[in-house]
Amino acid sequence: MRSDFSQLVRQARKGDSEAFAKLYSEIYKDLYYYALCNLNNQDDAADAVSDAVIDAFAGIKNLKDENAFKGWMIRILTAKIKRKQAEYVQVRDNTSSMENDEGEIIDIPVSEGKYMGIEILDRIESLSPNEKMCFSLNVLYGYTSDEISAATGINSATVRTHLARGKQKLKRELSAEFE
Amino acid sequence: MNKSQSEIFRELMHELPVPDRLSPENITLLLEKQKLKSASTDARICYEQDLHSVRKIEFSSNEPNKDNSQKSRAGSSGFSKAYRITASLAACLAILAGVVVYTDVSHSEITSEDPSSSDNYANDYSELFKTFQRFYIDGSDKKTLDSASAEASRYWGDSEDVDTDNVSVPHTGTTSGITATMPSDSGAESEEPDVPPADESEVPEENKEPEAEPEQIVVLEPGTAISDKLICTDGNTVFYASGDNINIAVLENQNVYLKSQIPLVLESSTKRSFEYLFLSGSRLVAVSSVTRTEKALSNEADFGTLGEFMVNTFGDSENGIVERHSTEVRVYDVSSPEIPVLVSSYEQSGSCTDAVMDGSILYIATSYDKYRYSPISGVDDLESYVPSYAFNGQKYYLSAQDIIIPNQLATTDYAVLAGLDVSSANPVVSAKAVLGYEGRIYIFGGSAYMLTYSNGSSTDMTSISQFSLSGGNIGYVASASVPGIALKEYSLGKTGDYVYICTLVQNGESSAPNIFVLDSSLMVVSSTEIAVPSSSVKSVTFSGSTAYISVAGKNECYTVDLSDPYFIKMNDGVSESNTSVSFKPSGDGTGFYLRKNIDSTIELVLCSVDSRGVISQISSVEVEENPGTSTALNDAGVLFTDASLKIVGVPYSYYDGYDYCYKYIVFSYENNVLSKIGSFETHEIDNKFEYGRAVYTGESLCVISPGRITSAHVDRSGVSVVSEADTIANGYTSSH
Repeated sequence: MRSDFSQLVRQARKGDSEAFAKLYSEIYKDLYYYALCNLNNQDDAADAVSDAVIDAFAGIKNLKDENAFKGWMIRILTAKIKRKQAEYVQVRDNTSSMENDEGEIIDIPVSEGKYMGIEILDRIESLSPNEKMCFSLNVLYGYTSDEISAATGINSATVRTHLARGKQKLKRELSAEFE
Repeated sequence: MNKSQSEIFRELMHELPVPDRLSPENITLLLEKQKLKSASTDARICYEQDLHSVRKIEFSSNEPNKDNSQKSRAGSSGFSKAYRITASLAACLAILAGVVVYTDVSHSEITSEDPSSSDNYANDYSELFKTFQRFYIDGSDKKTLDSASAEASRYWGDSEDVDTDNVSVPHTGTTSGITATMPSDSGAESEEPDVPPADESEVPEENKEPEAEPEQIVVLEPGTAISDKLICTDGNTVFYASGDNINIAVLENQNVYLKSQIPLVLESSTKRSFEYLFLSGSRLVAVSSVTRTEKALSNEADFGTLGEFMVNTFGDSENGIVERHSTEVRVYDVSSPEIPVLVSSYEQSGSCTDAVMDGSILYIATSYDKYRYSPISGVDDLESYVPSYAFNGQKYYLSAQDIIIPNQLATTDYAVLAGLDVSSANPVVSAKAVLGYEGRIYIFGGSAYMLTYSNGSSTDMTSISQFSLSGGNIGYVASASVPGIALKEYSLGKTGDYVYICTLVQNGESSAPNIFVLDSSLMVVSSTEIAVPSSSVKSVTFSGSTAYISVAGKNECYTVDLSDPYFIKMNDGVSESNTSVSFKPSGDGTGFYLRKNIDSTIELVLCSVDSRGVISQISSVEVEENPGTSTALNDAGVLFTDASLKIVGVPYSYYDGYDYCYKYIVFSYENNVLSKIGSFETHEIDNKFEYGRAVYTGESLCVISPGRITSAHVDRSGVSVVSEADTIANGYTSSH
């Protein structure tokens, strides 16, 4: 019930971690899948969600509209994802490979089969970071371009461009696969 | 793509397992641990959690390192191959069936550029030397924040109403120095949900509320607060710098005795002046600026083409005399106030821009821009291009690995940062330098930020470099660029882990100030454009969870709500403000400033500060009937306030026809009513006895003037002088 939801938000504002966890339980899977679409592997995705949860719990007292909890969490998670993506750029620029614990040179893993072999989901990796972000928000949450713009900070018209290009790319990929 | 295909993607996605550590039960445990962690000592840079990967930023290494988390291997999804192929084919057909037409519309995204990954520590001096060579051989005009600001000003034109004399200067001090830290609770719980504004046209005229008076807002000016940096007390002993001495006065039964003086070190061809005084336990730390004048070396050296070019470019002083600036730190053991003992001395290249004390750790920032007294003769000529420090007389050049060379260089000036542990016999913990300094460095709690100009995709950008300050160690953390130019009138702010910066962003033919919020990794999490013409903006200052935008030529002020870093917004309406005064918060939700009226009388104004940081006047009282002035008029930090005693002290001076009367007046503000408790005064011919700041030791109110320290007893019934100690000889004294 809506009143229960508002009550949970009010309790979470007071530092009630269980109340926050109940709010989180309604959306946590979609949060994880969103992060997974946009990051290289499952661990990074889980890290991003954990970071976002910690920040959100610390800052929930600043949430003015209780009904905006989900969108607000997505904005925070988007920021975490972007930060992680920036680290990928730094690592890629500085090294093309790195040492593992045994001192052997290994390539930086890109996907590590994060989609567990589901080929159609693997095709998402052919999209650019911004295209993936817009596409995943559109698919997972049904967000419109304006809603995606609010969550990511990307201009609405640019969002529409990313969405259109992303879908075209996927179309090409799947067409080539199944020709 | 039609909805059914989205559903397919969603269904496929939802079959993927979610890691256990993200389950609601484990998240509850994580949050409980986080609550405990927040209650303990802040370990912002270095932390670990059982359910979270370990991250460390190595202070001594070149770049932030990240330890890889343990890899968890989940099991298979359980999908059959047949289902996957079927689902893929279905989605494929749907995609083939959908044709999307789009137009290519280019829009700039108001997000930070990906942080530059190429800000590097120099590998060796050779690399640093070659950087200098390339810079000067290039010879092209380098844009800086200042030159870009000047261009922007010419572009939109200088407003006639802009009072450049009163433009606020970005504060490079600590949060304690920024008296703008209001006792506001940005996290105050709001029980009222957002309610859409009612349509006013439906409200009958007689039921409409009268328009509210504009709120009186006094925008905090980052005050000069010079003398505040030169006084400290441990409750029994007062240390203050005055002229060429540090005076050490001890209070015994409210009587004040001058026990000793520490003079500035005097050398020929050297000028020194005190910049900061800090007290850490029994250690008194004196920070001084040092200027040495030297003869420039001959410019007739034969260095070949490059050397001749550098000689022509460097432009030494015509009279052959050059000044070299450095900053000195002297640590004294003052456990016996009568006999302060010098423990250690440290000197660092460059003029002091800021100094911050954190426990026993002193962080000091200097700008090193006058190091050249001769052309660089070669890579081994370290004196010509490498910053240095001296400890107990022994000189050390910063190692190349402690010098950061950014991607873009507009200057060959350095910002030098050092962390010193004053409790240690060997205090130097860390010293780093950053090339390309452009005069903007800010130190907040735990971090330092340097702003420089950068050019991304042929657009003006401002680059922010963050350095961590922890335990005396200084580490490069991250760099990022945001669109626009950070003007000097726009300051930098920080609350918690979030940094706020305002830049002027060009958008076609127009430009507008924009505020960006960056998180602890300098990623932009939100931004907003300030809907005020850039030519009208006088200053942008940050205070707690509010940004204040003052308007040039008008007593108007706009505010931006920063309480939710992920969703900042301009507040509706404009407030009346007086941006030419500074304000002294007292720490109990009130604050004070002095106001000079048209008839030259001076009023003490009591204000309240609400949770948003908005200041409103409560009451005022005339300070003194004799026309005069006060050192607190332009710097409210000089006012003394005590929230527990509910008193405020005001220094005042006037000419009575015979000599100068220097008065100190104490007011009570109990129940928000200003009333005079009492005063004391002295008549002098030397303005070195003009009263200034005061400190309360728990027993006595000690009022300090350059030539005297006065101990006074204060209670509700009045004020009375107990004793005085002169630090200089006076012409005559007539104390009451």
